Amino acid sequence: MSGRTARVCTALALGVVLAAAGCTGHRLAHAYPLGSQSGGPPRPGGRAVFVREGDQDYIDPALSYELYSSPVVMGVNRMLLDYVNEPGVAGTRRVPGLATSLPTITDDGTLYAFRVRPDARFAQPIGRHIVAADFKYALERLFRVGSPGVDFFRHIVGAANVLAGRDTALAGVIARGDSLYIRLERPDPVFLSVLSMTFAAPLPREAVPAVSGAFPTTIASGPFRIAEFSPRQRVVLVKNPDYCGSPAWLDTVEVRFGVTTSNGVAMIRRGAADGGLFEVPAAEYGRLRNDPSWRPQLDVADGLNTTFIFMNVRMKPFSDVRVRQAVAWAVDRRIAVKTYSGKASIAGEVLPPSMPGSLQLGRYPGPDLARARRLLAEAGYPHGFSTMLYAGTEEPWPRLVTVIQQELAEIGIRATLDFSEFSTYFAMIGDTTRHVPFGMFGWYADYPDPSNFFDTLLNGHRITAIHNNNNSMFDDATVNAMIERAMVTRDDSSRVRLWQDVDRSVMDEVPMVPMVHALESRLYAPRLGGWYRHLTCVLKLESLYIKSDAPGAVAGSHAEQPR
Amino acid sequence: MSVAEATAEAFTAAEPEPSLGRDVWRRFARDRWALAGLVFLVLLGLIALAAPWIVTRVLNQSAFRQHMMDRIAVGGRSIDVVTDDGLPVGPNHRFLLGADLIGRDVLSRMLYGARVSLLVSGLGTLLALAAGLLGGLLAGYYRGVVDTIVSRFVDAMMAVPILLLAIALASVLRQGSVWIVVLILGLVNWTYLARIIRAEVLSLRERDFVEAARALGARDGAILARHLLPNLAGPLIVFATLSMAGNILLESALSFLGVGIQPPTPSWGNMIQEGMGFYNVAWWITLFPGLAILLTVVSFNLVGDGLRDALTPGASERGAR
Repeated sequence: MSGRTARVCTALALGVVLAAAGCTGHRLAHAYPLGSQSGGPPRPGGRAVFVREGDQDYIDPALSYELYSSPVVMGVNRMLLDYVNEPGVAGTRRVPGLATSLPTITDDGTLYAFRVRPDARFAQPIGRHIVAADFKYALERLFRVGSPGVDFFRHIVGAANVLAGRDTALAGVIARGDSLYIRLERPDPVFLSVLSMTFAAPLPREAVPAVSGAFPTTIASGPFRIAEFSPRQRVVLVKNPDYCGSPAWLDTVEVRFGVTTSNGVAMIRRGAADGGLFEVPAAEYGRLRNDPSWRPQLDVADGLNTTFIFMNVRMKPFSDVRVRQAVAWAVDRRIAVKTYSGKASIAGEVLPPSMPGSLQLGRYPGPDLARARRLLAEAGYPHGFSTMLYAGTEEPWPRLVTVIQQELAEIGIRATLDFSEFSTYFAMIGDTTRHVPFGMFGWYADYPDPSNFFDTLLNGHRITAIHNNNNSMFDDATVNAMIERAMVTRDDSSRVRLWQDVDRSVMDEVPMVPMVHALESRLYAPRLGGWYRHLTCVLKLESLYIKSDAPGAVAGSHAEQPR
Repeated sequence: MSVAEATAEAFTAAEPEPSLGRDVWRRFARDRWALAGLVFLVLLGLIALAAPWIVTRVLNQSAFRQHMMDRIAVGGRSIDVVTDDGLPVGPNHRFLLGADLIGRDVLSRMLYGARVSLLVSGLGTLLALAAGLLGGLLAGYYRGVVDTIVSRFVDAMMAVPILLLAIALASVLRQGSVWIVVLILGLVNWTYLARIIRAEVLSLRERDFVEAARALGARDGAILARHLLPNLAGPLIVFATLSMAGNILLESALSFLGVGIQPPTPSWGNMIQEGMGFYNVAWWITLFPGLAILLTVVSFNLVGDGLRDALTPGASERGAR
């Protein structure tokens, strides 16, 4: 065979190999019940291995702020308050964590008094009792290390001075023994949610540097402590015997980094891993959902997300509410759900279904093209108009936006698409000098409270020149007032009603067209029990257990030991 | 028969001298692989030209229209073009090469993709030819400072990895437009031609016919255009053919990385990119554009090899020795 013939044949053979690639699957052979809660009562012991594509962002609770890093940080640290271990909205109920009880709140919601549990201790080798000063030190340290959580604590008295560099101590935080007092400048109904974030985890002053630097792996106040942390390789957690709360079931949890999502699914399917800290790839999702053996192993949960098209209400033609309503009537959200591979629900409101106070409004149940054309004609655009439609390249947005472009063309809106890599896109739409008229965006809640949607995305008083999240530039005096009233209303049922009114008002003015509420999906091995998506955390490691009738249920064993 | 008569007869009986073009074609046609590549490329070109007509009249499809909510009858069953899980229908009588993730016809998009890929690669090659020819001619003919400036600039550009340079250019020049991709392909490719042309011109400028032209008072422009340029036709044709193959791959790579041709305009590269995550459940989205790239690039390479052999007879034999 000549050299050229060989080259051609090799190339063609490569094509055939490519054609044959894929479509191989694993059937699940198991001897124990499927699903999260089955398999008998939890039994202590065992080791679970998780895989993820990225690296742990930080082990420092002041700096870690990434979805799939949160199980490790949540497993190692505990705060004054915790959430009850329940899936869905039930999981948003707060319970005492390292505090003896829920706080006493006085002075019209501006003074919080906590008492630290007498049995709260840092893990060995620190090993000492956790006192109120450890919480104060941790809060003050947030401002020194440039924590991404600083903004959540801006209402504490003295925070402005610390931020401006005029002071290093938070005047509004007083620690006396086990008693901690926090004074706010104004009532903040979400402050308890903020104190439940890992940013507020206690840190021992004698062991943790006051500024950024190597964070010691020995700090733990939660059910696990770190036994090994090798960046870009793995982190190994072991049960913390000094933890004062309910102990974890598992002895060891290992998270391996650098495993692609498709490899992760394959590892879980062949028993080499127990779970994936990643979103199940869309292509795998369909296959797993249609496989009765694996369907129960998929954890599909509300991602507290709303993905929407925003329209800049300060720019023509979107300054006319009828144009915005025309866009809302033109789009078919059923198609949007399909582009999400079924991992989403139709959004006819701003708040996602699992958000406390959410009400399914189901507004603009289009497509109603005749109505959309009529609205455009009434607004003075009988022949439509041309515009740019911006989006990030993150899946499945290119497909979704392509479909939206065609839907808008049906009513005469000629949209030219402009895609950018996501971080570039995010910076661009947050820069008000770029005057982005029309674009796609999705918001995942930082904490389960409607204010995280309305105050962040739609309060006109929160518009900033850069890093602006109010991409619609929506500044409606009535809606602003409603949002701010809800923000300081302490009675839960009154707040819920106010948020629902805000949602209705926003949907009337429709500065954004909610498209879908994205769902999250993760895959777990059949031998693992106790998994579910907690609304505040991807996974609560202390809830996990190896099913008692599963092979490898004996403590320490696993189908594939780490290399 | 006198010597004069014999000579006259010999001249009369001799076959006419074959033209250069015919001679090149004869040598090219002897190479079966090159001929097969040429036939494929000609067919592909015709199909690309006729793509709008084929798609609407023959296939009764659209390369752009999505069918997300449509159902079709396959084997007596009514099925979704795209299921609720977002999985598209595979090859069938209605979608001959299957549907893509938003229910568009893969075959129609491939035909349009051929137009885009060939157009972008062709124009990119022309741009590289123009820039490379100019740079190479000037550097080789004038030598001295001009040569130093051009050659060092070429060296500097060639020191940067092509793909990295192309991605950087795409980011700076604002991605998406077909013309931007053409510009990028031209900018990253001209340096190779400039080097080849410079080397050829350095040799040609010392030849007798150039000396003769100079002695007869021909100006530089005339020497470059009338005497040097025709002698560079061979390297230019070979470079253009091989460069087309490289440009198709580079355009595909850029589109695959999301900085080339932007959706909804189809190109083979962005078709593969769109279907890549679904290769194990919807293989037809990536396989067919992949095969199209493979066959086209192989064909251009075969034609390029064939042309080189045909234009420089004896080169392959010399190389083989």
